[in-house]
Amino acid sequence: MSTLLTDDFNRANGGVGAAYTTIPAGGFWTGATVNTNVCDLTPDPSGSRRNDTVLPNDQWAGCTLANIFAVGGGNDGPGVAIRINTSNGAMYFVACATDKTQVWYVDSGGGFTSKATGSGWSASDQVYHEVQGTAAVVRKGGSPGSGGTSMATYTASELSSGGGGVAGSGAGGTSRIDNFTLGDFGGGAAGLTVPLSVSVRQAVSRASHF
Amino acid sequence: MSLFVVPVVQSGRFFTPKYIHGVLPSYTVANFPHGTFLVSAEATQQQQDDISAHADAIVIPPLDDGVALNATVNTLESLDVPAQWVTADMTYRTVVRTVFGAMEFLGRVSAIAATQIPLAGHLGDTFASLPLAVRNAMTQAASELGLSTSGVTGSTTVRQILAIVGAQYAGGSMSFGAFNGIL
Repeated sequence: MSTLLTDDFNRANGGVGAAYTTIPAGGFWTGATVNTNVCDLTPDPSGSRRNDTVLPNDQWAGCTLANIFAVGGGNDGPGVAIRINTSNGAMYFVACATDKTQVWYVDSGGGFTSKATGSGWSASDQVYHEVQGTAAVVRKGGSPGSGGTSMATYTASELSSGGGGVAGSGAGGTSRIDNFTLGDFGGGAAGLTVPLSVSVRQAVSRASHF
Repeated sequence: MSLFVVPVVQSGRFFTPKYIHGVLPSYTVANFPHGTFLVSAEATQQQQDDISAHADAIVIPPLDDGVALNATVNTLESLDVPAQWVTADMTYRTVVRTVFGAMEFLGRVSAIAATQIPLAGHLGDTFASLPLAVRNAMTQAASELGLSTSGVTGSTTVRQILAIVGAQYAGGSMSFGAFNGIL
């Protein structure tokens, strides 16, 4: 398990930087910005993919929550995204609020399909958004791949690869994160949680007749 | 823990499970055909009763119960889910695993092909008759999900392909939201 990138956003206010590409899915995303040394994701929706860090298919993204709010019946909040398609922006991202966890699958046309929900967060909480095979989890605290509290789990059946980034929205409040990180699970097979069904199927001969 | 099949509600660009989103605090969804989601959630008996009171919602019976054969087949087929493989000696757990697997495969195919794969009226289509992009997406999806395609030829129907794929999920436990490692 390795941390491949860390960004503390400690730089001048403005665009988040050339190492980030605004999410293209649907054509309505606003790129992330830097505001007082944290990453602002308040415009609805905001998101940027880190374009200089190649991630393996099994990957994780993390951040600390700087500014979050209660969404009530809404679906907003800041977070991190994984398996972001490098051409069309399809991805999985988690929006963290004080009263809710909301995981979205965003398709290439910009449709948001709810994958999972869970309980709420506090400012300064550590977020880990992880995927191994088709098993994905959003974790509060702990460390990548273990510990902390599982806030939501889902099956990442739509996307098998892609990059990592930041995403969110702030309808009703300010959405900001800090200390964005990306990593992999390489070199640490012990302790991986893989659905048994996948293990069984992968043991099956894969003679292809398609 | 409960499993539901409920309609997809679209509000603008958002797609969420009807009767569940904003009602149950924690849930996980899997794509299902015919404009529905399969949903795993923690729900009280009252919440289950409230949801099952809606004619377009289904609460799946306890997983280790034997299936009500005709009702199960008819319900699945009405959702465009191939179900002729269901037999009277099966439990709901086997049926859910199989269908979950078939739909996971279909979801991956749709994502790769960047289009929804219609099932209504197309279950009898043969593999050879499908558009090249869909055939290639099926091949890629099977490889990525570690699925065997043994037995699939050009004359195999979509109905048969989904049954072949789904059967590979029936033998082992899996995780799906609240059913973490035990489905």
